[in-house]
Amino acid sequence: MTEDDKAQRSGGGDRRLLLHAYLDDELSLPETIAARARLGNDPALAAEARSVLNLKRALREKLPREPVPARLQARIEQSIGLRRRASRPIWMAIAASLVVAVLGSAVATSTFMRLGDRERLDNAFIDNHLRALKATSPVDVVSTDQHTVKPWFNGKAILSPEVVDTSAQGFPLVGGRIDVIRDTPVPVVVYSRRLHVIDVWALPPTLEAGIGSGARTVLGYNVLPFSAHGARYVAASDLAADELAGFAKLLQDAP
Amino acid sequence: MERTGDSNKFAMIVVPHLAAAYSLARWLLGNGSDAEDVVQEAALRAFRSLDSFSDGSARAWVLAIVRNTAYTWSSKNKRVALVAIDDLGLDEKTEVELNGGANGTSTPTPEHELIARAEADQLERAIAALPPQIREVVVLRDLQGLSYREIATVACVPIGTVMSRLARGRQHLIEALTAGQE
Repeated sequence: MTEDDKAQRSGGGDRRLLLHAYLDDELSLPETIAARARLGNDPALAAEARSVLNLKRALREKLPREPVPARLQARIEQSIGLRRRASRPIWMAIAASLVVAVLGSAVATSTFMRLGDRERLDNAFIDNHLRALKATSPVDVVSTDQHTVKPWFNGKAILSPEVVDTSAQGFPLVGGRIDVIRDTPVPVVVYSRRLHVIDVWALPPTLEAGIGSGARTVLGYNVLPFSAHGARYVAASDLAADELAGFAKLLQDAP
Repeated sequence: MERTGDSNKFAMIVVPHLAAAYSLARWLLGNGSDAEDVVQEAALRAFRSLDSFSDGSARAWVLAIVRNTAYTWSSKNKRVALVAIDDLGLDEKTEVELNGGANGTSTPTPEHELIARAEADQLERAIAALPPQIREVVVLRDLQGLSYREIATVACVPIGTVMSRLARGRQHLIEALTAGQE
């Protein structure tokens, strides 16, 4: 019997699994509503929820995040560098590019194909995303209040983006910053999901056409152009693609 | 394909997740120098199989390689015991229910306050005491923020198993943090 089967057998166990999934924002909307109702009616379950939430917070806040030891980083770079100097037979390179070409037809983007305009633009967004993640803070204005973030953009870019409060849905607002993409200042609204950072760029008209449509993966990051309230946006994150799509939907449905 | 392209790709796909990789390896092996060896080996494996990464979460892809490397490594080096899940003895279901029965009832200091006061070393000891298959799920979720789906990919188990292991792991931690502190 698998653990799943065991979990299915008991209503009490199910209830507990759903409690954790609810506290982790992993339930669908109907399940979330049901879980919230159960919590309201069951003091023991509510007490347990408090314990789990405190545990989650303690783990997040009290355990230090260790950087990669410099020595390890150097060893890895060295081994990759050695590998890079080793010559590879031509046939391997050809076979590898064939694999990439075949994959490339199925997958939206491959950096090894000749880069089109859209790919170059995608890379520009991801470059900015990565730079922001490496910085001390991914935002220039830190605020969980949409009414602080929105006015901050005034005068800094051509357009002022929509800033939506999605914290209740598990996507708290982090703040905003300005990126420069193709000589144009582009406002970025930054949200988070668990420990993931989500960048949402409000596209100026000059970039709208180039970005195209359809979700894709660029160097391991999910990129999703979408329209909301008459404007074009691009979202990027290392969040899973379906969660990112769900988040874009939230922004589109926001009043 | 260009070799510089390969190392660029490595820099973009693997390097951003090296800290998470090192952290996971540390939690799995309990030892910094073992973790370094495993991450180095995993990084090379990832580099060699960059072509197989096409879509989805880069972090989950990298961490899955680290995890598999850690398990292979520990089975070769017996002194590091990654005990199997069954070694915990109790039936998972029974235990979760037993713990549940003891929770939420009257204790002098509310349980959730004891947990909020827990110190880092206490948390570390409690996590280290979890069986690896449970520990990795707690680490991936509560320390590294992966989604259930990403964890399912890393640990190679169904999402239902991720859920039950996570519930079980947190239950153990709550119990460890509140034991003996009236």
